[in-house]
Amino acid sequence: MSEADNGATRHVRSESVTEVIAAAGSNVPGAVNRLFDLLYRDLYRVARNRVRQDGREMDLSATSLVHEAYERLVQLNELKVSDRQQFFTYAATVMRSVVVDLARSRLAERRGGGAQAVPLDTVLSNMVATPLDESVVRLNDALSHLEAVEPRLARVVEMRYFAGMTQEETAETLGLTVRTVTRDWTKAKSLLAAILST
Amino acid sequence: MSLTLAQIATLARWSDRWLDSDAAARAAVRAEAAREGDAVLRAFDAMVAALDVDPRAAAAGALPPPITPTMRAEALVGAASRTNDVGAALTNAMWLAPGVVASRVAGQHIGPYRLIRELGRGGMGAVWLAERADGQHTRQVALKMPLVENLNWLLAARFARERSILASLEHPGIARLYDAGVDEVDRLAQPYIAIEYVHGQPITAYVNERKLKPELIVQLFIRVIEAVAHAHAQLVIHRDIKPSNVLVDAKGDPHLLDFGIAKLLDDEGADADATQLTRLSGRALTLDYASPEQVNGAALGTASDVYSLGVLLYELLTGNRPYRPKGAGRRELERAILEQEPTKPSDQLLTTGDSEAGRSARRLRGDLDTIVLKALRKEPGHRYATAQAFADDLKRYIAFEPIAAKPDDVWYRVARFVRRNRVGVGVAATLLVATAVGTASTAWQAARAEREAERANAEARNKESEATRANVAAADAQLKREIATREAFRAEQALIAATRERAAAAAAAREAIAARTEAVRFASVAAQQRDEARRQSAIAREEASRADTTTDFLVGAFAEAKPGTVQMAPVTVVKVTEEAIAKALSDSRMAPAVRVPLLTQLGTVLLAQGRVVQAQRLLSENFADAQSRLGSDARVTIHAGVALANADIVAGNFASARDLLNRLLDQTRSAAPALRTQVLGPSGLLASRLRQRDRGIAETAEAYQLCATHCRVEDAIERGSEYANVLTTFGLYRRAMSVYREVDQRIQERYGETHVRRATLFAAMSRTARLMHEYSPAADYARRAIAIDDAVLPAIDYRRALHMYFLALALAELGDVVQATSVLTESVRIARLTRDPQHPDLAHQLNMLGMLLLQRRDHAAAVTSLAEAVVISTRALGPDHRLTLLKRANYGYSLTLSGRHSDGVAEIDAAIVALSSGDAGGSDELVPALERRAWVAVDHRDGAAALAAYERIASVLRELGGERPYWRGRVELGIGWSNFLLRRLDQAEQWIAAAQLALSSATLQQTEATLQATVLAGLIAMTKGDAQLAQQQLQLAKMQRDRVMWPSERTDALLETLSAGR
Repeated sequence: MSEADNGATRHVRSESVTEVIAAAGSNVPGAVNRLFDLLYRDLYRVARNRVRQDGREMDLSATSLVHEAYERLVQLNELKVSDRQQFFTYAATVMRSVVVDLARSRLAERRGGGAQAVPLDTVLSNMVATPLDESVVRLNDALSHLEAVEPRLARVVEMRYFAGMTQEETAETLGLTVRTVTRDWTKAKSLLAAILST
Repeated sequence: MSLTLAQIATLARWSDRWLDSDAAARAAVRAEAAREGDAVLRAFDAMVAALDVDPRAAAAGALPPPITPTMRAEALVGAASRTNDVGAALTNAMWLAPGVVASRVAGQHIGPYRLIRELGRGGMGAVWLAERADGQHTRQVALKMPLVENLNWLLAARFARERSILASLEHPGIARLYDAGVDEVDRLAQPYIAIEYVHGQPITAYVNERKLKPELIVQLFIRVIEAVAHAHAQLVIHRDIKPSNVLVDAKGDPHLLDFGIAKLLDDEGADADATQLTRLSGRALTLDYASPEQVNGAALGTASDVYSLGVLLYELLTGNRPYRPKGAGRRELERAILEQEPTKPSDQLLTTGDSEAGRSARRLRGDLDTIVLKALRKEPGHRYATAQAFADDLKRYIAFEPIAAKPDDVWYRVARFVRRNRVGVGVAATLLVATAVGTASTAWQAARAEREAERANAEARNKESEATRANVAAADAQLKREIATREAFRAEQALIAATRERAAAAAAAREAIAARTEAVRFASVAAQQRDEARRQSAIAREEASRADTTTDFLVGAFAEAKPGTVQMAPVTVVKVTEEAIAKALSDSRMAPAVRVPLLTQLGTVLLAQGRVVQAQRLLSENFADAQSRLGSDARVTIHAGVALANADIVAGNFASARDLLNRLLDQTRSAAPALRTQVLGPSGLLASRLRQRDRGIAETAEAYQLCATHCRVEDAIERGSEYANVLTTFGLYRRAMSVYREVDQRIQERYGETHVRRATLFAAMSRTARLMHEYSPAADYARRAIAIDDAVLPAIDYRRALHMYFLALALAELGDVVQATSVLTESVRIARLTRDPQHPDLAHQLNMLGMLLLQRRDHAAAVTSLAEAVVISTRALGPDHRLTLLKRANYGYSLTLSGRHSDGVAEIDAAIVALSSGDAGGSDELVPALERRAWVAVDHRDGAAALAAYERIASVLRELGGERPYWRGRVELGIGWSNFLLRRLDQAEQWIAAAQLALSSATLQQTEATLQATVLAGLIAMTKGDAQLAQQQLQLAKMQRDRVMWPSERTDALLETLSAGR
């Protein structure tokens, strides 16, 4: 926990998030990767502030990480309010990628026998499960298939499940009505059930 | 997945139809699905099952359990340590076998318990609120259900055994274990543990919410420790004390949870079974409260719990953990636990900075610091022997009685310091020799030195608490003025940062004084061991080459703050340095062999602080003292001499620096390469300042090459930087860059990718790139330096200010005056907070800010900024220093633009005269000073004066030598312009054409000079009557004008004349 984190707002950025979103939108080569890095960094910062309160999990606010990162960037003038939709869309994809990535790396670690001995009760109170990891990885694979056929449904799952966004946030981001999002969400879940059943 | 994409698409269509249909139509849809074969029909059925059932159950069927906010946060944080490239991670597909999620529902029976509701889902299982289903008790329990894949009889037997022992732990502060057993659910074994259900909140949340004062926290915590002590008395250790395991109920009573699976002290056989349990458990995500022996996987005793209690108390008192790992990863934290010394709780509080914290810090200072740090010792044997002893000491603290713990003694700190720096016995052996060589100290002297040191400590403490009080008052005042606007918010941030820095400064000050105390104590301890030292002196002499390590430690406190540590506030640093110097000078009993290197380093610190004149004086006295007391050839004498020479170079006294370094070169001709290179490097650097190209390059190159095999990596890095610096001076930019890259390799090997030294290196590379006129790379290097600063330095740090200055220089050259001004303004702000207000760097920054403001035509602000630059530079470097003189020329130029023409010209002329009369060192500055004069002349259409100035620039440049196409272009342009003003059109035309050629070969970038050349060419054509050519040039100029963001008034006036003449 270095001092630098607290002062991170002060550093000079070569480009604002808004600029990179624009570049990604007009297919500038490499811009999408850069955007992910940039968003990831901001999400990470917000996340780390939360994890610091470790041991007080119950205090975790209900506001989604993505939302908090968004507010922060807007406040810093890094992001225009008009970029809200793109930001939420990309950020949800980033969340999916890191959650799945974490699940995979933990599975790999367990398989590799590199597990570290810790008392059982430590594990009990840490809120992540290995069976959950496996399900997450499976879900991600199924979602990739669904994405190829119904990209919008995949976005909804990313936002609702992986990023923890509310129905309203999801609807606003995708420019849909809440009713449509509810229906998409139901459809997506049932199709995922279908894919996973085979 | 056996479904094809086409099949999935079909299923999607069916799902829509299903949702929109009645029962009859649905049957038709299903019939359609049935025709596609068994697999599709199975998938279809799974899909409609999910569509039809209650939405909550549907979610459970299709999706894994919800991801908690915590998991998202952990995933993000974890990702940082796994990959930097999230984009790549997105496309990186890896297939793993599916697993099963065991889910429980309310009402289900596990053993004799009925589940009521889930309290939490854990890494390896779940915790439910449950009650006895058999009606024996109505008591509610927390039922833990670990997920175990292969439960065997061994584990079951162990469960039973533990139950009997753990159930005997009866203490109001310990949540009771009621029951443990194994049930069978769905033909799978399900172990369960029933413990007392405590309705409360984690102790950290409890303390934070109520903002408990330290005394109340301690009283609460004593009860926690006593509960642990009770378990220890039953030979049960907890092994996992952390906030979520210490709950405080509504009545304010603490309860320890989860003694459940603790290892039993007297049970030899426990290990095998414990592995059985833990191996399946995967890894923990947090080890914030783990003891060093837990991290190491060593055997655990009660001392491990004492340590974890220490961490928890630390957090309760300060709101923070004791360590500042260098990165986010688990490995970094492990390393911190094993290696880092915890920050004192009181210092930790001060760094958080609010006024409340300041008050608490004063309460913690002293005994409470000592108690907490004793619990946090790395070595189990050095902690409190028992938890009860820990509790007892806290009780004594509350009762104002003397505590049992002693502050860390010197040897302990020294031992840890030595271990941290991995120099083995070098330090100690060196000091033994140092004292053996120096005067004999008696035990009486030792005692006296110690008293002195104590007094110094006490003084430092007083000063520091004064400073704290002042800061706290300032912070209070500021907070009261807090308003919602962004401006106010920013101001407050700055103040808080300043408070924080000052607090850290106080800490560093104490460290510095302590270091001195240690040095003095070392000396006296060493005296007692002199016989031993003599015996070892043969070995020790070899070790002597590492002598700087001790003083490096001291200097580390000032100049090269460790990454993560906070830079000191300028005023405090200066004061502390001065006090340290005064003490070193006044202590007549200190052995010269100790005093000389100490003063050498303190002088170097002064120099780094920009107190050039004082540094020179101190170092010169020190060097004389070293020569007479220790002899000219002694290593420490040579070091003292080099330090003095460096100060002379910075001060611009090149002649005396040359004399001195020549003598030192003679003396070290046959010395060890490591020592010789320390003279050679600075000597070559000086030669380059004196424009002795060959000597400068040869000496720094030799030093660098020798060092590659004979020096410490730290020195090799230093020598490489010098060599590259000299190469840059003589325009050998490519070679310089490649040396810098070699240096970068070494830095990365020695310090890793993200280290402040690397930031310094990038700044140097930015300078070289800028001199190559490669401004985009120059800006990039500066940004990379700043990126490292972001990672390792506090937000307010002088190095950050310097690197932003470099960025601003590059941006200004790129024509981005707006961005450059804003970066520079921030840089100046940081510099003002971190630098001695008389530091020459601040003068450079203000100077540049002034010039940028001139470009932005804010003349009044420019005059202010430039005047301050002159004042600071005069104080720091002296009135005749070349850099001061250049600032005077700039100041004079700003005056001419603000209606004080004659004053301004007088300033510029005075600067030019002084720069021409001094030694060769001023040539580089003479060129821009003359250019200012030329600008004034051009502004006043004084062709003759302009021509004189430009011709003089040309002759100075010839003397300086080297290819400088950009400057040549500017001078030729100036001469052309002057000739135009003198109506010598043909000459003007020729000069302008030459200038355009030189400018285009110097840089591809569009500069203002290029624009000026075009306009002048147009004006010449117009005057000569060639309207068509004039028109063409005007068109071209207008295009160029758009690309030069902030042309000077001079240029715009010129362009206007051309446009008007049309």
